[in-house]
Parts: sequence; structure tokens; C-alpha cells
Amino acid sequence: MTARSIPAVATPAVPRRRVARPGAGRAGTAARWRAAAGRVRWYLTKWFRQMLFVLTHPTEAFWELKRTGDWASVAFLVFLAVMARMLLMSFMSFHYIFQGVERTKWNLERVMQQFTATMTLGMTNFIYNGNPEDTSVIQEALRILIPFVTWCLAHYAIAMIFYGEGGLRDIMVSAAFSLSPYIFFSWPASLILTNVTTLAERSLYFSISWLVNLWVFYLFLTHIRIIHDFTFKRTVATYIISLITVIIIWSLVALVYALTSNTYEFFYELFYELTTR
Amino acid sequence: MAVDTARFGRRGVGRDPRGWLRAGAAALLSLSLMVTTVATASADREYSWTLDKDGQQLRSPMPYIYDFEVDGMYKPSGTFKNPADIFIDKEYNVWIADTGNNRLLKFDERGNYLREFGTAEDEGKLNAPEGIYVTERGDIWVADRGNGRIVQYAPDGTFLKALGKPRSRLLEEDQVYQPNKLVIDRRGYIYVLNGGGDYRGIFLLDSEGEFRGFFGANRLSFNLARLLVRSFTTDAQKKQISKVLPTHHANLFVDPRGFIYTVSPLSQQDQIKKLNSVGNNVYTTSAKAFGERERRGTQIVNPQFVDVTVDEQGIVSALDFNSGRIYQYDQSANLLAIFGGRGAQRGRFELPQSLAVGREGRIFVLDANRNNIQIFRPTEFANLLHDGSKLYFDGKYNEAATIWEEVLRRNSFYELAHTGLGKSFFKRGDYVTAMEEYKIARNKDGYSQAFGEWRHDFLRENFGWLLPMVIFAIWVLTTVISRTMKRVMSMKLETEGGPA
Repeated sequence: MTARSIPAVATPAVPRRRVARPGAGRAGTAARWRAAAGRVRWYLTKWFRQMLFVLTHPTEAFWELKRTGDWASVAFLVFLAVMARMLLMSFMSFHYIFQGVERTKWNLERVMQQFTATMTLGMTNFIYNGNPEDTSVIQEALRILIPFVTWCLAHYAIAMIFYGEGGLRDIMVSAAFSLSPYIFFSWPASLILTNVTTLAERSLYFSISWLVNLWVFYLFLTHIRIIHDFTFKRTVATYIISLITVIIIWSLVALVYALTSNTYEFFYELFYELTTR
Repeated sequence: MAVDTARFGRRGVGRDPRGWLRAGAAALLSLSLMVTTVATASADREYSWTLDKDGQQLRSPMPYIYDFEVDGMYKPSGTFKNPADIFIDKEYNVWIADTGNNRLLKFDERGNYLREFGTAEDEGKLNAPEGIYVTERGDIWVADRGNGRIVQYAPDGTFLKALGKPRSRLLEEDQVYQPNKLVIDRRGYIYVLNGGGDYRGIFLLDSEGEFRGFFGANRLSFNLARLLVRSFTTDAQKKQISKVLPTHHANLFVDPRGFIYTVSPLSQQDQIKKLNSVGNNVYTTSAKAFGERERRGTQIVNPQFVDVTVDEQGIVSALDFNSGRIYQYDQSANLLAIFGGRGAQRGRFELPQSLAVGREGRIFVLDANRNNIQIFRPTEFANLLHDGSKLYFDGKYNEAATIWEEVLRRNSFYELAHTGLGKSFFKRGDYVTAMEEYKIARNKDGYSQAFGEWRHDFLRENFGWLLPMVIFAIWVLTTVISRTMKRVMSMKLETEGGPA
């Protein structure tokens, strides 16, 4: 009755959930808590190792994730990404918050940054463009969640058409793990660089942000290639078509919203007329 | 009357119960009187506002208050009719282009009528003049729009010459020429605006009326959507699409140093420009939206600046036709103050056309619907702002700081004053306080500069222990990371199933 552990490191044996024996009574409460904590620690260790593996050996890591990935890691990693974003914002020094600063100059750095940020659908944004008092966790979470979910659905649909091997779980798990560079490096960059450099030296911070965005972009390409067993050409084609699909989905949602809001208004006004006449 | 009823009510109180009723009625009456007085009050009981970095309104004391008004009624001139332009010469006489009556009017600065021009039945008879400029020597130049010419009068009012339509290879023969505004710089060059929204810029004429070229035309900015539309449409379709043109200048002003200020009502940004002698804008470095965007119901109304004037200190006042408000900016395009507005009350405008600045910073605003000029005088607050920004612009940051402190005593929200204080602390070497002030003013560039200086000082003082600390921290970090990585590398991820 021992739990399976990860062989290389001796993780403590996680007690299994026991069937309540007659006569045991309530004595098992503490044990149950301990078991739950053990399970949490087991999962956290696993996900942490998988993230490090994705950072160091992406190809093998995604190959492994096809076998060992679990749904719960998706929620956890997206949560971590949101936390990283909030940390990034709270660590950012006052002069790096770009509210009210006109950034009209287009240079290569900004073009590249815009490009990589677009390729990751803005999920891995480094620039904080708001008012610190107006920041809302929900809004920031939605800025990661909505692109993430639509990307996964769109990519699932497109990969099916392209005879990709990966299922929805593989897609979501590896997309979530592809965010790990952002989770690891965004907030330290904000903490260290924006609080040490002046605005004149801002390219240091922005080149780091650009590199992380590029890294995430690379991980997206890699995981598509690995989990579906695609050639490089097919990978790029799927990537671009998925991006277009995301835009189509968003415009469809906007269209549906526009139409339904009108019908809603119509019925509301009809109701209003009938009740007040 | 309100006082009487109140006294009556007060006397009644306590004697008999009806007194309370009377007192209540009196209170109500006086309250309603008060409400009506406030609603029709002149500007001095209202508040003004400035805008913060996000364009949010921050309350501020009134910068200008209504002083008196001038119209032609009960004067030899008779009332004005759709006047289009006002000008104040160097003796502070007030000139009006009384367009509807085809004449010029001259008043002194208190509004006493002096004389009229352009009505004599000779060559100098005007037809719908819309622009006026008086040179330092007293020569009077008029943009005589109805006759399509520019007219010069001697100071005594005799006709000197008229400059008709300029001829040049740059202009077509059938060119419509309706000069409606003009200024003359110290070299004697005449800058003329062609009415009807000519987007090619200011007509630059020499003193003989010879055309010397276009000056300071607005440019079209790059627009991706337009490029896409243009690259996917056929020639026939392109003809259907309305041509996109740069915006025109509506009015202009020349300052003693020869800078030409222009306003472009249809632009969304950089509506106010300060053009140097080669026609480049030197007022703002990046695109700045002047004025305020307003939301009226579901519509968004952009500001439309129709006139601009600059005082001796370089303070720019611009008149927004849509809101009827006057926006005042300092020498480097920071918003100083806002006043005026649409309405029929004193201190408000119905159809504001033009403005000019007179003695002691008084601002004269010409209203074409009410056919009058309203004169505003600066309050103590506005004078403080002007002095402060002048000293700041001249680089006397410490003198300016005392004035900014006075400003903050009257309005602690005033961001520009905090920036001024920040600059002063920065110059004195107190970088931490400077950073605090800049933070309140939300001035990121100033903050960053002060931070850079503070960092420099900090590093110089603490380098001795900082360097070993940093090296040690890097060593610890790299060891921890490499050990963790080594452990992770040697792991196999046998995680199928997981704990039950």
C-alpha cells in the first residue's frame, strides 16, 4: 500500500485515502489532513520539475508531458501566470508604468516586441499600461485566460483537421507549460531591472521582455511539433491558421454579442411597454 | 427683499406658532432665491479645473473672472454684426473686424469708441473683412475677404494700397482667393490664410504682395487602414472614396520673436502649433491632444480651436469653439487653466469667434452671436501660475519653487506645481524629495532623472560593501539554481497515475 513516488528523488510516501474502518471513529482527521498535504506537495513537486524540464529540454519535456500531463496542472499554471503578472505589476517601479507617456516612436525593438507579444496573443505581456490603483486581478486574469482558452480550442480544431495526434488535454497542458518562461522570469525582471535602471536604460528591460516572449513563442512552436508529430512546415501552418481562427472566434463572439444585445434590448423594451401601458 | 422676509420670520419665531411657519417659508424663499442666483451667477462663483495625466478633471480655483463687456449699443458705432476678428495693438487699443457691417472699429482698452475705418466710398471700402492686423508703426492691414484682397491703411485711416490675388506658378489661375486672416512679422512678410479651408498652408507674401510660397502646411499622418484600403481598391473605386486631405489652419498669431502660432480645428492632435521661421512645429515634441474630448450622450465631441493668442510672457490661450472654453497653456504646452464655456450668462459665450490678450493679461473674447466683447481679468491664482511657469521656463527653478508653493497652498492638486517643486529639489540635489514630488505630479521622466542621480550617489557611497554583497548573492543564486537543476536533470518523471 505504498504510494508511487518519483524515483530519482525520495519523495515521502503519500498515504492513500483509506476506507474508514469500523471503530476508527474520528481519530483519522489529522491523518487525512496530512495525507491531503502530502498529495498537494506531490503534485507541486511534479509540476515544478516538469516546468524546469520544459525550460531546459523542451522537446523531451513535451514528449513526456503527452504521457504524464494532468488536467489540474493547466489550472495551476494559468494561475501562476496570473500571479506572475500581478507580481510584475506590483514590483514595477513608478517610472516604468507607461500611463500617459506617448510611445509614438517605432523602432526595431518595439516592432519585435509587438510581434512576439502578438504571437503569444498578449498572454505574456510585460508592459504595464495602467493606473496602479485601478488594477484588478479579475481583469488581469481574463487577459490571460481568454486568449489561453480560445487559443486551445482553436488549435484543437485546426490540429484535428491537420490530423494531429494530440488531444485536447495534450494541447492545453503543453500550452500551459509553454508559459513557464513568463512565470519564472517576468517578475524578477520587473523587480530587479525596473528598480535599478532609469528610463534612459529601458532597453535593457525591454530586451529581456522580448527574449522571454520569443522563448514562449518558440515553446509554442515546439509543443505543436511534438504533440502532434508534425513537420516544421506543418507546425508553422497550423500555428498561423490557429491564430487566424482565434481572431475569427473573437469576432464571432463580438457579432453574437452585438446581435443578442439588440434582441435583449428589444425584448426588454417590449416588456417595458407592456407592463407600463 | 430676501433679507426683509428673513427678518420678519425671525421676529415671528417664539411669539406664536405661526412664526415658525413664516420662518420656514422665509427660509425656503431665500433658499430658492439663492439657488436662482447661483444658477445665473457670473463666473466668479464657479470653479475651474485642470486635467491630470489621464485627462481626468481636477478641481481648481477660477483662473479668470468676468470683468466687463463692450458692445456697440448706445455708441456712435452702433451694434456689431457678426464680427469675426479682434486684435489688440501695442497701445492696447482694441480693433474689431465688424464683418457684417463691412468696417473696422477701434476702441480703447476700456471700451470707449474711438473711430471706424473702411466705410469711405473710395478704393479702401471694405466688403466683409474677417481679419485684422496692426503693425508696430500703426499701419492697419485688413483681410478684405469679400473683395478678395488685402488692404493697408495708414494710422490716420487713409487708404495706402491693396494687394490682390497673388500670381505664381504654384497657384492655379482659377484659384479661389478669400483671405480671411493675416499677420505680419518683423521682416514685413505677410502671412495670409485663404478662407474655405485651404489645406496647403499659409500664403507667404512679401510686402509688395509677391507670392513667396506656402508656409507651415499640416501633414497627413500615416494610417494603416487607409494604406490597406488604397492597396486593395481599383482606380475606379478610389475615385468613389473621398480624398483624405490634411487639415487647414483656422487662425494665426505672431509673437514678438517671430514665431507663428496656428490653430487647426479639424485636427485631433497638435491642434496648436508654434512654427519657426522654416515652418516647423516647435511647440510639442510628440503628438499632443490639446483641449478635452467631451461625451455628449453617445457622441464624442472633439475640441475645435478657432483662435489663439499669446501674451508677453509666452502664455498661450486658445479658444475652443465647441465647448466655448478657453484653454491656457504655458511655454512648453502644459495645461495651465481652463475657463469660459457655452451659455447665455455673463462670462459665457454663444458663438465665440476670436480672442486677444490686453494689458495685465486681460483676455478679450469676441462673440459673433451676442455681438460683444467680454473682458476677463486674471485672478491672483492665474497670476501665480503665469509667474511660476515663466520663471520655470527661464530656468530659475528656485525662485519658481516659492511661487509653486503658493500655488499649492491654493490648490494642492496642481500637478505642474509639483513638477516645478520636483525640479527645484532636483537642482538643489535633494533627489529623494524630488522623486516624491515627481511621483505626486506623475512625471515619469523627472522621476527617472532624479532616480538616476540618486542611484549614482548611492552607488558612490556604498560601493565598498555593495560589490561583495552582489557577488555573494550571485554566487548563492547560481549554486542554488545549478544544484536544483542537477537534481531535476537526473530525475525520471515516472508520474503516471500519481497519488491515489
